[in-house]
Amino acid sequence: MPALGAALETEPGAAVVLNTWDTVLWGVLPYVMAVVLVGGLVWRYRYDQFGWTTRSSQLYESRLLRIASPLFHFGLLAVIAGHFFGLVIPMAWTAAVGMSQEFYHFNALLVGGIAGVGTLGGIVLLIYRRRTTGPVFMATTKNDKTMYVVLTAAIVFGLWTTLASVFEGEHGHNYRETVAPWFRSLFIFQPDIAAMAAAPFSFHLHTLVGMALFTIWPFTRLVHAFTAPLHYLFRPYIVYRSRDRETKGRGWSAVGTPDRDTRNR
Amino acid sequence: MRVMAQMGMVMNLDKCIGCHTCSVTCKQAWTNRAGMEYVWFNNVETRPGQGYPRRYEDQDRWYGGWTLNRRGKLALKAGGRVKKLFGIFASPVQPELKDYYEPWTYDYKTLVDAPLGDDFPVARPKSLITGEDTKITWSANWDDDLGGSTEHGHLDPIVEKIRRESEDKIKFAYEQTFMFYLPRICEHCLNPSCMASCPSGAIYKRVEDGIVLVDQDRCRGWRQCVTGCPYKKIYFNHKTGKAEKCTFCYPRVEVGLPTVCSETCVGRLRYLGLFLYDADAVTAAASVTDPQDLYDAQMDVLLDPHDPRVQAEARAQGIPDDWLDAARRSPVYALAKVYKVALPLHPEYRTMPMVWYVPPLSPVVDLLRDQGHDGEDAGNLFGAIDALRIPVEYLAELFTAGDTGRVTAVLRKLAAMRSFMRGISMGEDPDESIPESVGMDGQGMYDMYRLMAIAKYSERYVIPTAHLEQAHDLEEPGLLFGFRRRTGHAGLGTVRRGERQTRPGGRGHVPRPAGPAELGHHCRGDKPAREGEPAELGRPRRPAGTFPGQGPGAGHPGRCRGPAVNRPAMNRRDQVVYLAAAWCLSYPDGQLVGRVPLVRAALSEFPGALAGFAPVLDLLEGTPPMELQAQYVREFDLGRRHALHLSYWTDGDTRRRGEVLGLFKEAYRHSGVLVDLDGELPDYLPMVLEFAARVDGEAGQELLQRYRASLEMLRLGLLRDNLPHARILAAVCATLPGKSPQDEQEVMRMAGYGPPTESVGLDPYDPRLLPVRRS
Repeated sequence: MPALGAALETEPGAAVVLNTWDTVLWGVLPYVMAVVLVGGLVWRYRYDQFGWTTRSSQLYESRLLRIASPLFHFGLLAVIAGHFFGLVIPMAWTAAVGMSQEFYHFNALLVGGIAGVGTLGGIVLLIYRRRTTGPVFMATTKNDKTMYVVLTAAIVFGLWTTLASVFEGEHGHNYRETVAPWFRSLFIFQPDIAAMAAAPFSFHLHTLVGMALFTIWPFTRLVHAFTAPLHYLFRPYIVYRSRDRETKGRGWSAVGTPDRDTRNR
Repeated sequence: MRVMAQMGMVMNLDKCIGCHTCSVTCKQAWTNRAGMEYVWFNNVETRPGQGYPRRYEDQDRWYGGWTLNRRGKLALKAGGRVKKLFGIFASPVQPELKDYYEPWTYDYKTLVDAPLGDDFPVARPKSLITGEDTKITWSANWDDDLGGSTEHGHLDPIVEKIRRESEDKIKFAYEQTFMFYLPRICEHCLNPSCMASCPSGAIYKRVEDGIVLVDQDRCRGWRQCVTGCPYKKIYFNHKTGKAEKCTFCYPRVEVGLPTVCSETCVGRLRYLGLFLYDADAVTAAASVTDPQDLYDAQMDVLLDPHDPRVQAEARAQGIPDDWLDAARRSPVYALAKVYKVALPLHPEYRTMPMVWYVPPLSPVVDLLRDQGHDGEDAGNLFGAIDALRIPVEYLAELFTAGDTGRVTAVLRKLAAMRSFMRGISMGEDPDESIPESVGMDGQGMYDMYRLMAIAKYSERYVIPTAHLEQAHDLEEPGLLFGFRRRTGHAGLGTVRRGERQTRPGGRGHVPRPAGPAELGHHCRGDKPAREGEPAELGRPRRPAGTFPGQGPGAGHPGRCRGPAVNRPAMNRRDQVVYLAAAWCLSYPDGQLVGRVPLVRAALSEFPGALAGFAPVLDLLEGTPPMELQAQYVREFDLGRRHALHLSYWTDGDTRRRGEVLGLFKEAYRHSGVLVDLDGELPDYLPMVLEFAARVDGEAGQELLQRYRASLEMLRLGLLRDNLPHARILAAVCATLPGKSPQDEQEVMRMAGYGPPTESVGLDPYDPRLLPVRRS
């Protein structure tokens, strides 16, 4: 992979000879990921409403969770906002409103750094809690463990790209000239593979792990994020509903479900 | 006004013996699953006590229910929508497992698997959460019967509060004098705060019956409902990650069966029925400023089902007629609003709970008796209620937001009922001054007594079934047999020949009511009635709660009625005798008394038939209804000297009885009709007689002949006590072959058996337990 990066040390946007790897990774994979993510979510929403839950473990342990979970989630919300700012808003726009590159960079590092460290701290605490609290660990499935590895890796690599640019300072890589144009180009189905290929390895790695995370997303407990209950702000407090409404799927776990599920660990 | 129907429950705490049968059967039915080990949809708490989960009533800690905000508007105590969303990543005040308890089982296997050793093997407790060895330190009813109350009795939030207000008054005399049980289920509130707290909108109230349920598909496990419910009756299933709660056993209720907790209640203390309420008025009622006014506000939300305006409005809202009928007969409405003896639990939470409690009076009575007073004298009782300030204050904290006057008023009513009824059963004239002193009249008090003390099954549970056209997927068995109720057609019988065959696919088929013309020809004497009052053609039934203001239509329809085709030729005279006897031996409600002329006319068409019935008919016509009913209950319901259940005489209360009763049911079923037992045992003599008269003469007569000995014993018992009903029995026996025996010994000889005894388990040892002999 480093060789790959080195081979592509060319001006962004210039016509370069792209090898097959680049095409697959930055031209094909994102769409595969999108199909799996959307398809998976639709499939799960239709067929596994009953399994669509936070699977909270607060009943077992609350003291650590009360600190770690908000830390992680609020951090993550800030991280998502940062990604939006960095990837979706073109550099020209921020320049147009008079934001200098230095100012933008400083802000991104400061806010992104804090959010990233908060998120990482949160998830480390959560994993510590999960491992050390007996009942919580017992309720952890293989699926959860896989998800935790990918999620933590995505956070760690993301933080690495941020921190790396702190140490590199002025000479650091400007992802707004490589990753961001590529990201935006994906949505018009004309992926700017060359731009992405020009980004350094750390960004490649973070992007790949991120795509892996979104690929497994619909099949893990992370789905709860897609039903964030924002409609709560608008719905009436008291809900009346007729008996007639049909429900699909199982609804209850069957009598005789093993007390401690040992199959998925 | 938006009229809605609500299933409600009343629990009469005086009768609760704290046996936990409701909890256990509920657990077996609903929460014996992984993830629900710690959950009791129904639990029974000893009060004073901390409850389950511990100190759930301490809303300064748990923030359950509603409160009024600074502008005086109703708001969730745990915070509004925005605050809830910000706290969603870790529910700020969710109880943990240790607040409930860590569920456990025992390592029973070691008891049989342990290798031979010096010590007895021990079944160690194992946590159901981790599977590891555990130390049991708490449970759902750890402080049962005040267990450990010297250690942690003061932790009861209500004790704490009362002590804060009057430290000197309470002391420890408190614990010495007072204890009662409080069974709790979900309150199925009119203004549920769990529902308001649910970010996903997964909790809903059913339009049809007001039952509050969690949509398991839409719940996302945010857990805010657990915080929101002040009664802590929503539980988080830690395996599925979904909230679950008491379902009011809706699959049973939909087919007219009582909830599991009610059905299995040993003390028969639970009542189920409908309320009609004004859904538009709920929020305003829950928002009144003074918490002590909440009770009255809640009362005002409940609508009078006898009010024609309410009925018209309800019909306009699509509430079916049989539901309105059930609402009129509703025992919970009677106890809560008519007699005003049932109170809501913690009205100050502002959720408008729909499970009501009759506060316990027994401790007062017991205390008086222990002190050497006459515990049931009205004067003594009234005085004692006032003197026992502390329990009243405790009860007031539970049921009226601290308003002791209200609790005292209820207790005085209960005390008055005791004194009044004691007078009657002692043979004195009813002392009308007693009911008057609590603002009731004698008939009302007697009706209340009947509902609360006799508590017949069919009067305790008045549950209208879900409509076929609405519930496509109801189980067929529940509709086919046993608990069919009227659907608003006056003539709709509950015994229908061949319904099984005529039900197309068992779905959506509304049975055709049996018209009066089909019924009329059975009995010539009922001609005048056929023209004048078709509804009266069936036999009368006991009222399901004779409340003041309740019309004659309140009675339920005939048990055995319907077009009786291909009935074998049967003596018309016998038929009339059976039917007349069935009616005369039934509970004498207004409807039955109204039919006396009809019975008389029918019997007089057969020479000599009337003579046997005349004394009873005279009695029915010439006695005040309350006295008549009291006498019936005394002679036929409470005592065993004249039991009207045929197999009681042959099998008593032994294990054989169940099988024998099954044979009765089989006989009914065999005749191809559906019998609504309506809470009676199938060997109830009026039912058998009616069966013989109207449905299947041959089979009916066969049953009567098989239990001829019972009939004769009953006759002799009535004769011995000089009751005129003896001659009716004689008339029935005269239709059967053979001569009636003269005395009990002769009956015994005739039947070839002695009085019923239990033989199971009385052998010194079971031969199967003897060591196997090796040959």
